Amino acid sequence: MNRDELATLVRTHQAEVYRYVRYLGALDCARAEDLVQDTFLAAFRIPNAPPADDLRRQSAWLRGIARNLFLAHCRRERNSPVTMDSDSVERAETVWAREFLRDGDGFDYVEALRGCLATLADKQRQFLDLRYAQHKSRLEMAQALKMTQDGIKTALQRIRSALLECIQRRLHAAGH
Amino acid sequence: MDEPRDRLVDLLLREQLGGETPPDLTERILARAFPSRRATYWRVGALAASLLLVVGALSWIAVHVLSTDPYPQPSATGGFEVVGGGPVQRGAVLRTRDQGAQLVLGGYARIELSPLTLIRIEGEPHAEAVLVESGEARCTVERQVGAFSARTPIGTAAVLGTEFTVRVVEEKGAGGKPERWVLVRVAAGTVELTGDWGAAQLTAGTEERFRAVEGQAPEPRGGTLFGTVASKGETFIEVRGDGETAPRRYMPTWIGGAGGGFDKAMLAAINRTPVGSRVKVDWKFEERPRVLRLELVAPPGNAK
Repeated sequence: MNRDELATLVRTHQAEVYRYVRYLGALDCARAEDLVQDTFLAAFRIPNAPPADDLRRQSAWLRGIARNLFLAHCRRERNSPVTMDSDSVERAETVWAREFLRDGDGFDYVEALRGCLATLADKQRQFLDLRYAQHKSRLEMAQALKMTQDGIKTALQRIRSALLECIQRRLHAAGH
Repeated sequence: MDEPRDRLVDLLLREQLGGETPPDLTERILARAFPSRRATYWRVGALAASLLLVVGALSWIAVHVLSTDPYPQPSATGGFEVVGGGPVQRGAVLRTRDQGAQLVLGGYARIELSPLTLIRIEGEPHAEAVLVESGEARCTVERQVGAFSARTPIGTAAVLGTEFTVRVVEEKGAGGKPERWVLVRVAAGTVELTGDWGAAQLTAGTEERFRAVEGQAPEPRGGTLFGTVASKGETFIEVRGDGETAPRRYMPTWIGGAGGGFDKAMLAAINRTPVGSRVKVDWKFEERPRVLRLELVAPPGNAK
């Protein structure tokens, strides 16, 4: 792989690989960036890369490299709050490939999420704004909303669960 | 909901609502895959620079953290009002009417506001700054404590330790058209002036007048302002900043290049924000003013 080929590979797939390692459990952005970088450097050193015109195979190949690097990272960082074994990583890959990408790039899924966000009740929207837009911790949210931290955790999980159901309904209705 | 699906929705919410976007690592990866010969020399240089940085950082910590009190917040005395209400803080606009006032920033920059002056507090700790919208401000800056700059609609006066006056003057020019110019008078030290008209350095005992280049009044490139929502549409919001005479239109950032679209989370935030409410806006100039963060400070009716 020459310099131009590597540059094309990186520019085409880096956003998805970054998302993917964050999804697998790379908790901070710096760790995710390191994993993305190591993924492409490992791909660069492998002689038999999928052909450049087969983006889907390239994407799956890069995700495989990223998964292996992420598992190796988890084994090294035993004190990490994220505990993943090969089975749970494979389950995560199945959800990513079959439910999020679905032979595409995940755009339909994101569009469905945007539509679902617009239908949330004000209270649910407030929870999400505090957590995701204002980056408040569970403790800060608990203080602001006069709830326990466990209550905040449960409420956020319920909202995400409701969003997931809404996304699946929308995708189903759209014929996906 | 099982864990992978929860993590997937969590990730997408971070992107959609929190603005988290994947970084461009192309150059970083290429540099690792194809190291140049210069890299070795560069690494030696970088090591030396790192050592210098460590020494510098330790010195900075010794001076600013270990040996000093908490960083002073902006404070003001005299006859002034904070436009739109609220405390004297970064982003606030101070107006004097028939009396003067004194503003202290970072404990080392003292600004005396003449009557009929409008000034916005900008900057950050150890790099204090003000925007003199109109009127006159006499600035006294202690040496070797922190940086200071006084911006005007026409240019910026930046100093490291000096005493100078900035006056924004509006008068009728040729043909009765209003013209705005700035007078900077230096009492001590040296002041660097920059603007679209060029750059100049003034020394103690000198003064300079400069005007905006016609049709090229420089726009600030970003910042934070408090103001009132004047109007809005599906893809924009117009906010009249405190102390500003006309509202300015802010649009969300554009994501995804030619096939992309406006930042959906910001469109939703604009949609939720009522006209007449008081807001805090973080913005930057990228082809046009872009709103990066929109915070509701007070709903309509409580906007004072």
